[in-house]
Amino acid sequence: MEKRKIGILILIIINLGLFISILAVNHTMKLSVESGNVTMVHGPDQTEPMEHEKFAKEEYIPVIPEGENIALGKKVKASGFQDVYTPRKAVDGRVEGVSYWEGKGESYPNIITVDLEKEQNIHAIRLCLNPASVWGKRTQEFSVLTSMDGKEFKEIIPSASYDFNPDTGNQVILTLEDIKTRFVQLSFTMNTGAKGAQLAEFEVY
Amino acid sequence: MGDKGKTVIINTGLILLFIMTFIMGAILKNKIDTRAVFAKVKDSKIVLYEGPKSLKDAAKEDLLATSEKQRDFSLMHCIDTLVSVNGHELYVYDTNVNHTYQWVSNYLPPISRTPVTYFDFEGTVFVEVKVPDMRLDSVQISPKEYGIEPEIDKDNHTVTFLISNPDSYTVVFNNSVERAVHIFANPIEKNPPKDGDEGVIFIGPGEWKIENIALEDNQTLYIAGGAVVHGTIQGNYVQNVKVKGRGIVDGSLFAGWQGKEAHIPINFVGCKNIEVEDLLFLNSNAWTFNSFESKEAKISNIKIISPRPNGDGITLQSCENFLVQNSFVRSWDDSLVVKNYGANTDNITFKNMQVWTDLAQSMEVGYETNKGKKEDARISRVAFEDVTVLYNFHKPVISIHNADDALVEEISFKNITVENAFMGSGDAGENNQLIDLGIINNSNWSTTKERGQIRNITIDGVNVLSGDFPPSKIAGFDKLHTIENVMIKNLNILGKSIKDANDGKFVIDGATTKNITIE
Repeated sequence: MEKRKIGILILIIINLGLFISILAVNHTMKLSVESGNVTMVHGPDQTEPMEHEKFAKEEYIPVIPEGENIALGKKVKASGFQDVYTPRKAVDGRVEGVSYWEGKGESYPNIITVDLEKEQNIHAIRLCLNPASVWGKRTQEFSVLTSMDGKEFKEIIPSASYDFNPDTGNQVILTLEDIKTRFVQLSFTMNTGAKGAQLAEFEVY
Repeated sequence: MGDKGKTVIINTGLILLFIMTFIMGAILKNKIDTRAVFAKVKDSKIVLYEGPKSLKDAAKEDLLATSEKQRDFSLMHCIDTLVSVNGHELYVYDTNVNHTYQWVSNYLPPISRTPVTYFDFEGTVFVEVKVPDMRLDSVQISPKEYGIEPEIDKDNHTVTFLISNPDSYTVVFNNSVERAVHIFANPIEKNPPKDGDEGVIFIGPGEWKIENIALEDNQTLYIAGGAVVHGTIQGNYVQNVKVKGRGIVDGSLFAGWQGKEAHIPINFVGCKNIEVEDLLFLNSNAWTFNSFESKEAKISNIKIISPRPNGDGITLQSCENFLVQNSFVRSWDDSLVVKNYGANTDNITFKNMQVWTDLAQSMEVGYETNKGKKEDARISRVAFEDVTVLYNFHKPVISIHNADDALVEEISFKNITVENAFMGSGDAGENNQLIDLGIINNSNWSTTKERGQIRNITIDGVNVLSGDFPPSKIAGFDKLHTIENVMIKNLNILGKSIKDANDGKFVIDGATTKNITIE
């Protein structure tokens, strides 16, 4: 009986020892992990996706010349085009998506000519690219020519560089003194945003 | 109480104490073992990123496999899968993936969801994945080359394992690809840019709607860990640009492109000197990483998961001198693809990549090899090295499809591991090969009338670990448009070393090929 009591005592001591060891191991384990090198990167309090202040843009109200765009839907020709970007897309009234003319790459000058079908008085030309930000900024260099017969062209604005910027509508407006003409031609010699000239709309007023 | 009663009590006490001693001993041993594991992680460092608080918790109805029009498609916070590292809980995203192995003509395939998380570390870390609602019969962790054998606690629905190498890890439960967990364990960032640094566009943590970020010359775009940017990044004829950071570029708020308007998450056109690192691209509305006629690029540690139609992973069109390395692509169209849409392609290397291809091909050169109809079109020096294909469900793993008149030459595939080969699933039909080299005329992809050539192809070291035994095919177009000088060696399929065409189920068209060696 006494031996058994001693046995019980020994087992209680062993169990106590084991229990203390478990606590000790647990404690050192916790320390080793939780005191480890942890960096937590926190985010701001938000309840919905937000516009980022660095990309906030002032609303741009497009400037449209007075009168009617008489180039819309008219006959148009180009010295060439890239892929599916035919000159017709520059007079279809659409600036979005893939509705634009792109001149054949690395073959400047890229020339596009619109036929107004009869002699008309014009006072402005608006050249548009897609205003979506994905188009980015670019500079194009071109001159403007006119003709009564589509054969003999006269330069009315000499070659110059123009910036197209989506933040300001991605458009360039050229104001002219009243000119009588049937054909209006643009002759491009440079585009920093592609290998050929680009126009989503070629508008004549 | 008599002596007999006391004896019974003492004996019972002794027995109970013996049992208790064994139990306590077992617990102590278990704790000591666990501490030994934890000792390994003691010196590790981890960086964790809180996800945006604005993302919705993914409820059961958000997990339905249905078209993007029939449920909320947005990137969400995952709540049915918990992942922790060294005992610290990670933010888990619930993103979209596609388990449909066939083309869906209305562009609205059923789309599922899967958990994704990321963190940075160095040393050895202890990862726990808990899936309270899932019965755990088996768990596999890829890439298998690490030989990770996880501890599975079926009662607590947990899987635990140690990792020491920064890499992409995928946890697959019960031999099913459903709810496979992608864990992107990055190295710790060295000298990340700070907000306000000159030439740096810095986007901090949080959920941001940005229509598009148009890169300019000499700019660095930094999207910090914890950030989710709904928008696109575009480099148009710019040079010396860097795009980096641990953040996410997400396309889930755009409708799928449905053949109309693609919002390409990251696109370089006519650019030079490009570096892209670390970003995670999810839910693109069409294809994902695109580059056209760009040169001198180094792409490292990017991760892509794309679920929607035409959702190619990394597409390099008419590019030169690109190195793409240490990256992960899971896509619902070609994962890694090189083609000519304009100028010639030269010197492209994909190295140390992980790929999971739910639809189409894993490593594709073609089909368009001269979409720009150039004279003397050429695709040359393209290398795929150390690529692990976790799953390939649909079309070939290794493919060169010359559908135009270009000369395609010096293409190599070295040290390719296919963990799960299920080519031929869905509507893949006869496009079920491991290796498919062909010169073809195809109404979908051919632009030129004339056909081209394929020369000098090396395939060295392909190991298919599991799945179905796949066939392979090599066929030119005719006597004048041929495939010549193909060396295939060190091919092992499901444990069988392949020494000749019959062994490897190769179909080789003798009339249109020359000098094909299998050894």
